[in-house]
Amino acid sequence: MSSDVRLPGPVPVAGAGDLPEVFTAALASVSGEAFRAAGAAEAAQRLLEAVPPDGRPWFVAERELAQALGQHLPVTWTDRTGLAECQVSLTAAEWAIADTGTVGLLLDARQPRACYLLPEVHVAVCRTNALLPTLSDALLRLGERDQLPTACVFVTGPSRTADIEKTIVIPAHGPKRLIAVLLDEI
Amino acid sequence: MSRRQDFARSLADLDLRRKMAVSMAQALGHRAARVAETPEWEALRDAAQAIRAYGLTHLDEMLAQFRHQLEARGARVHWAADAEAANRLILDVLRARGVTRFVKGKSMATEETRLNEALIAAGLDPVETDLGEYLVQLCGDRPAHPTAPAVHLSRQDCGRLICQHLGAPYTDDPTTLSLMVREDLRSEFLRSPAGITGANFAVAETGTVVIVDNEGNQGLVSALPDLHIALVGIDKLIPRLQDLGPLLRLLARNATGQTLTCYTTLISGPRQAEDADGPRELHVILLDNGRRAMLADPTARQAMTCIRCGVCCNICPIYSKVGGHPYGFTYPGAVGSIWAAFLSADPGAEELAHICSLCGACSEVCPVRNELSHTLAAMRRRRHRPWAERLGMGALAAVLARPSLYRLGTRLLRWAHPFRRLGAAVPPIRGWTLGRELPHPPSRSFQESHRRWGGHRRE
Amino acid sequence: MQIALFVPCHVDQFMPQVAEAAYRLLRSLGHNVVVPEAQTCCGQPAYNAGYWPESRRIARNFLRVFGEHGTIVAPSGSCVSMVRTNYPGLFAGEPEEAAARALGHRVHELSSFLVDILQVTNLGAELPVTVTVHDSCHALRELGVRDQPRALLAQVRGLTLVEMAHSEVCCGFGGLFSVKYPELSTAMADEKLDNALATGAQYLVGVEASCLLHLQGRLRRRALPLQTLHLAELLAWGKGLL
Ligand code: SF4
Repeated sequence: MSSDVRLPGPVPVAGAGDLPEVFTAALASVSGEAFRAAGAAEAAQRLLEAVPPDGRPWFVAERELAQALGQHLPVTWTDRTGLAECQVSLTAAEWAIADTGTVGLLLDARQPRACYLLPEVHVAVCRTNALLPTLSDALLRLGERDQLPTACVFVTGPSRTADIEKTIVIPAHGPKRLIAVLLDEI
Repeated sequence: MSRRQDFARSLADLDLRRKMAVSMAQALGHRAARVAETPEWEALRDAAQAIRAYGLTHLDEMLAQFRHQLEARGARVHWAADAEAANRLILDVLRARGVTRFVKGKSMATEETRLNEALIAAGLDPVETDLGEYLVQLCGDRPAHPTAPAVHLSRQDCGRLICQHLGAPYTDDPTTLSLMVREDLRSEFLRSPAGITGANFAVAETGTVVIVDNEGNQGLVSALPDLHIALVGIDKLIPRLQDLGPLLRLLARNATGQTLTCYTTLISGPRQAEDADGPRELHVILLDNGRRAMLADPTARQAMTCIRCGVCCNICPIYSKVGGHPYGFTYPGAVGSIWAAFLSADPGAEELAHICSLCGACSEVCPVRNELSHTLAAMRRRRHRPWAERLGMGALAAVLARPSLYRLGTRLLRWAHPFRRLGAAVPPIRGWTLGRELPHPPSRSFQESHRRWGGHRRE
Repeated sequence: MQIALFVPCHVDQFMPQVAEAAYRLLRSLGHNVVVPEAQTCCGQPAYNAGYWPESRRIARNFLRVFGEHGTIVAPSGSCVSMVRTNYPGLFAGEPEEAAARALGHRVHELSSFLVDILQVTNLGAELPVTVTVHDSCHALRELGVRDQPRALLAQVRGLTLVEMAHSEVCCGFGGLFSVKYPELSTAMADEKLDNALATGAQYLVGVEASCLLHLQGRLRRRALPLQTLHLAELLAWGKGLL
């Protein structure tokens, strides 16, 4: 397929600045929230301030990043069967994309397809060094894998609709809040 | 002339005009803000144009690869030559699994094939889950815009529709209404045995169906039910995963003025043994329905590169006044008027190529640089025109091609002018004078005065 | 410089003063202006309506008449873009293809010829009027004529330019479109005129006579307090040439 020379390479963002800063600003502009933490304990603390537990269980994906954070949280965990009733879903993002304030999630055995959509709040944890400038960079990395997971999703902000007189309403069918956590170290 | 009347009727609907003006100005304003803050804009357009142009010459190769990849993961890939075949395939799959009520994500392809009508006629019960489509379904209408289906409805219209449907007291607050619909549909998602979506792109290299949305319904429709059917026009194929980069960056910025749509869902197969969830069955139906004919037409083929951002609608001085309905075709606006000639069952749809002033505003903004107005002008050659028009044009050409006749015509025009009222029944004059005064030809044309006096006497 | 004046048919018939103005302006700059005798039309009306063989018949006459001339100038963006942009496609595979392509580079719209080629903006005109500008579609999008008319107007002493909202939106003329879909065509004209009126200008100035004919027809029907004026007329008037 790539034998055709006329296919273009990625288009870089002109003048990309400090990635975490660009990411945070981009996510804020789409009503998402982001913070950066040095380690899991600190991240958990900040998260509890941002989302006080309301007694409902939290879904924690079976991925290292999510679990590392989850361990510090005084909440009950639920598995995928409790997704529709839980307060927060804590997922691990493979990449974060600065240009657009996007998190990229692989959906597979350890992170079910519906996990980021059903709960009220979606928290995606991403390593700070997995921040990439553009969507193209994440797609290139995704394409380098031997096999794609059967589903992945790039999430840019909480779920929204503007179908009634173009008035933005959050949420539509998905979460009301999206919080991205950039983690420097586990 | 029924289309002319359809357009005239929409034009006369001042309420619609007001809603359209507000929505289109807002959409274009948001887009302009994105353009201004994206210095790599033209580079993105170059890339997008090249990617889509590649598709024009490599379609079969891409289709084969796409199919191979998906089937290797256990998906079923079907071909549908036309709308009827697509609807039948979908009906068969649903029936075989005993599905009656099921959820749908927003899909223009299913609008194109009128899938809902076909399924309802067969006793099935599709539930649209995109708020705009939900509204359009409630009022038994068709979408008025490719990315904003309910753009023609006011908040009061929406309030009446939703509250009546849910048996709730009237409100027209968009937030309350949206939350009511969210509540109503949540249970549908959780119990639906099947989900039907379209696709925004289909990646050949990886066999991936790509769906973008803001509400999150596409993710739910494609993740929760046990069966997922995606209806995909063969124009959606792109060669590589990385090509989504420029295409999606442009699509969102153009369509809604977002930097990226909230959710970009990439589906490369049904649930595998190692997956936690997802449908056990994935059927992808590749729809031709006139696309190959368009691809074979050297004049129109470029329009196959469309990524359905809808900007050529928003910026069109005609569409932005009347919305999508008078076009009488699934895809309105400039690109829709090209597609209609190949995809519409209505032979009169070719007239759409003429309902355009050829201003070129659309070509200027199209993210994949479709030369829409040039294509429309060239497509006008296709249509069988009334004999009177052909005769008139032949006569005009005969006069304008011969200087001697042109001179004679110049005199005739002046002799005839005092009797112009007699010509009021002649279609072109009638059309002009419907809203305008006729111009007065001065007693001598420029050439006549010039021949008479040359270049000296007047200065 | 010898300049051949290309007078589009609608200008010749209905707005001869525009051609006259262009003629005198170019002469006033010291150029030798000729008006080729046998010219008629560029073929655009038939082309845009989808009648390409008919259009070619007309365009062949244009090629014959202007084939010999080095520099061709017209007070119209649309007809120039017809020759420049559409002739190559219209004559594709025809014996005249090469000639048609070559001709495109030698045809110029008046305001861009003055500003870009002759590099003059100050014609020494003076006119105490308030105007607003309509950007004609083909001049704007096919030829990139946007700043040139404004640069020329900026040098007219006493003149005030008030920009209208959406000056770049189509006025609704569109050739045969204007008579086949008059409701749409006049609705577009109305929007244009309302935006122009809102500026309080006395004159609506453009570089395209066909748009102006259409807008003038609508203005008169609605009896609006506004007049259309071609840029060439305005400049020649301000120079005392008309
Ligand atoms: S033709 Fe271009 S502008 Fe129109 S919808 Fe398609 S991609 Fe967008």
